[in-house]
Amino acid sequence: MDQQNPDERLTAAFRAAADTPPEAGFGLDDVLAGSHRVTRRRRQVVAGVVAAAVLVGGGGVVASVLPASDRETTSAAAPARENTDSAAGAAEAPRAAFPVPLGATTGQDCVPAQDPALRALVDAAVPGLRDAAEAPTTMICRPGRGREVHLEVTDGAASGLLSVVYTAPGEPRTDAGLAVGWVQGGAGTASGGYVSVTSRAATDSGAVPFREQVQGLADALAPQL
Amino acid sequence: MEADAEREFAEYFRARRDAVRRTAVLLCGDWHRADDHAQSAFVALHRNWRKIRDRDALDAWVRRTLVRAVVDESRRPWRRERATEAVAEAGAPDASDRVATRQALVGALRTVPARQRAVLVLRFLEGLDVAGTATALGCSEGTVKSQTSHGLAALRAVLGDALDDLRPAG
Repeated sequence: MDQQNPDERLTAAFRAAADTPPEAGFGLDDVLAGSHRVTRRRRQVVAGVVAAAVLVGGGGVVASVLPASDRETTSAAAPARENTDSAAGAAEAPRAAFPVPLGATTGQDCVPAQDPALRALVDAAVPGLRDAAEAPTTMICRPGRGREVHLEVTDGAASGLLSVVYTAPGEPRTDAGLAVGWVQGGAGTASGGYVSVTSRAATDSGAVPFREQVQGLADALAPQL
Repeated sequence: MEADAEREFAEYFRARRDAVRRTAVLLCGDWHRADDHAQSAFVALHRNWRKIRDRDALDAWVRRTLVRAVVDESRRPWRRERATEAVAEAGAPDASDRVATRQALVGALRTVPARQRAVLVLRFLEGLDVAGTATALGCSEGTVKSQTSHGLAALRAVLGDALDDLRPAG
């Protein structure tokens, strides 16, 4: 006779449904290689972006869309620009530092979900995000030439997910929003594409991190993409 | 990462890989994608290993990472277009009734909206209570209760009376 209550039966059924997994498609070596590959690519791209900024801008500093109290400089060669509170001001310096837009990816079939080049631009625009952990993404290929960055962010008491999605020219936008708890900004880019910045609260009723900065970040990135 | 930390990570990976894969397969519906999601979660964990100071919170971190990845994926248009694709189960051969039960449940779960599916998996596979599920998903306990109710209703719509007859296999 079955002594289980309905919840226990469901629990047993759920566990039985997945109790004989096939041989795993990945091992520890794959995980370590994936982690090191991401780290290596990021370092290379960041080094390249910083070098380009120094070369073109004479060591000038990319702007920040954050309040002055949160800003850091990205170069030891020059002090941070003082007046970067407006979105227009934020967009100026990157345009000078990156005369050629980053634009679409080349030589790869899938949109990179954590694109190191885009991450470098985001970090330069919002230095407070440099330490933000990458948010989990899927390894499923989405065909296209866009770029994406997804970060777990904290902004004072607010925390959540910040997504920057660049859509290449001629490709459909894929930045779906949510019912509640999110803010989105966007702008057409120099390459003819579109960049959207979406911030989602960690909880349905929680505060949205960087609520007031998302449009400024989109405006700052647009000339560089 | 330092040798000690690498060793710790390796031990954690070996201990938890299949459990994470099992959660993933019920969240997303097939083993191939489950492995992709699980591997992504472990890569993210390795990259953030030093930032997660509370080692007791590792399971919760991986769980949250996994659920968010699957739910976020389901919200994206290119994923939604493929959501009804039939993908063959890759599990080991088994007695026909056990296979039927598993396939029915996995198939039915695939029809449940992603957020409700996540609630059901966390509650009935992971065994989390309402409060624990709310913490894992970053929502209120009321939301967990309502999503559980809606999710079970969705399962019942597919499985009918079979939902009440589900039994542990073997």
